[in-house]
Amino acid sequence: MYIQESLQGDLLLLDRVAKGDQCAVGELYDLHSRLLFGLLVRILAERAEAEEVLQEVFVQAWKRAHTYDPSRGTPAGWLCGIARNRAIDRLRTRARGARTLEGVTAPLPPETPEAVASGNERHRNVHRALNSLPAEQRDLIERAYFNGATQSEMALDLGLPLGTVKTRVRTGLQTLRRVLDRAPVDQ
Amino acid sequence: MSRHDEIWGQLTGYALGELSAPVREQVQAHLAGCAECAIEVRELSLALEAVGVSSTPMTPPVSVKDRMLAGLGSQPFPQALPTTPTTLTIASGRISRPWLAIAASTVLVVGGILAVSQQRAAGLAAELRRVDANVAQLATEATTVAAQADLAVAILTASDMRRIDLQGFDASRDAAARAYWSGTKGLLIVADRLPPPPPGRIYQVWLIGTGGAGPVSAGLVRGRAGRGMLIVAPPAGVTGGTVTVAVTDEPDGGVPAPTGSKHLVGSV
Repeated sequence: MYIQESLQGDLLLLDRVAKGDQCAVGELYDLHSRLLFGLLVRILAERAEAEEVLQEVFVQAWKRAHTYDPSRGTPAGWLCGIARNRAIDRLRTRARGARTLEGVTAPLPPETPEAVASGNERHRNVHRALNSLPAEQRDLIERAYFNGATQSEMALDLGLPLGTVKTRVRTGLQTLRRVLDRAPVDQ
Repeated sequence: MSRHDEIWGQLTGYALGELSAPVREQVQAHLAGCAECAIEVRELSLALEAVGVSSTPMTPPVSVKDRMLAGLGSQPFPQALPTTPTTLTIASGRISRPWLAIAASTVLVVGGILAVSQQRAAGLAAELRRVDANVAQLATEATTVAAQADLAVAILTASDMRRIDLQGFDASRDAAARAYWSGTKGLLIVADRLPPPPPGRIYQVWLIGTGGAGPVSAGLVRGRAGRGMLIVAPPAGVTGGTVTVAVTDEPDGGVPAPTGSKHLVGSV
């Protein structure tokens, strides 16, 4: 339910993009660039690089809009996936070092006045839902998602059995879905 | 371990995009014919989408958009029309992708059932069965509500209907509540400003006649946001000219005889 906010408009926009409408790309950018830029800065921890990748994301969306498959997620999720994949690729080209598993054991960053002022109920619902997960599940999910750490890498780095890591990640994601399904619908 | 179980264990890695190309292709081949795994992948993907959304939004410099749009101009548009199906044929008509999406997202609250391919038909069928079950449940609930509305009308228009103003006690002293009792049609009780019952407990309504029998349970009060209601046919065993209505808090599910604190009481 948390994804319903702009689904209809997004689908129409992506359809226009798939038909070659460049104005629609600009509108898509206006709707999602803040979300994607925040995501990219969080993954890359580097604003200039995040700006570069943000451009690439929308160029890729322009080229690949016709491959979007709504049965696998929302347009916003599709864009997040492109952004994450490109950012993780960049992370992996950097020397795998200190950044790999650092910085994610801290709790989620507090909501900034900017985010609060945005009135984005979806963001707040998700933030609350993530914070409701047990710390050991949330931590692994964030390491995997934001740092691109594989489950095998996390098991090795944290000295945990691979099965334990897989169970925690899977259970956390399933719980997240259930919690968000119960969250209020965005308006 | 069966092939299905083996793939099932890989689905999180698949959703996270961490599988090697050969394993990823094996998973994809399995997903084409396994609705259960296809739905699980969708659920995991939606959860991961939410993780992405958890990032604090940040405003990029205006120049980024300008550069991006300028870059588009130099890019050849790859393909005007998709090669995969983008319309769903229903009977003799065809529905365009965006409008079908609007209808599907509104009615089914599913993130789009648009590009219906043969590979996903099984997954969609399972999802539709789930929606059908929800619709059937809603229809049952609607029938119940309609029956309750009929009973309420019968109670309120009964020739022997008597109104009973209920007084609140303790935590419910500020509640406003009223009961309408007909020995032939039943009891309708409505309450406002009723505090939530204590954790693990629920409000239960009792009727006490003057015929000698003890309190008879009339049912449990359902409601939300401080409002509660109960509409029931007349319980057996309530006789006599004077009738007392009482509401107590009891263990969840109710009990045969009152044991908890009284919240509302009234007689007529």
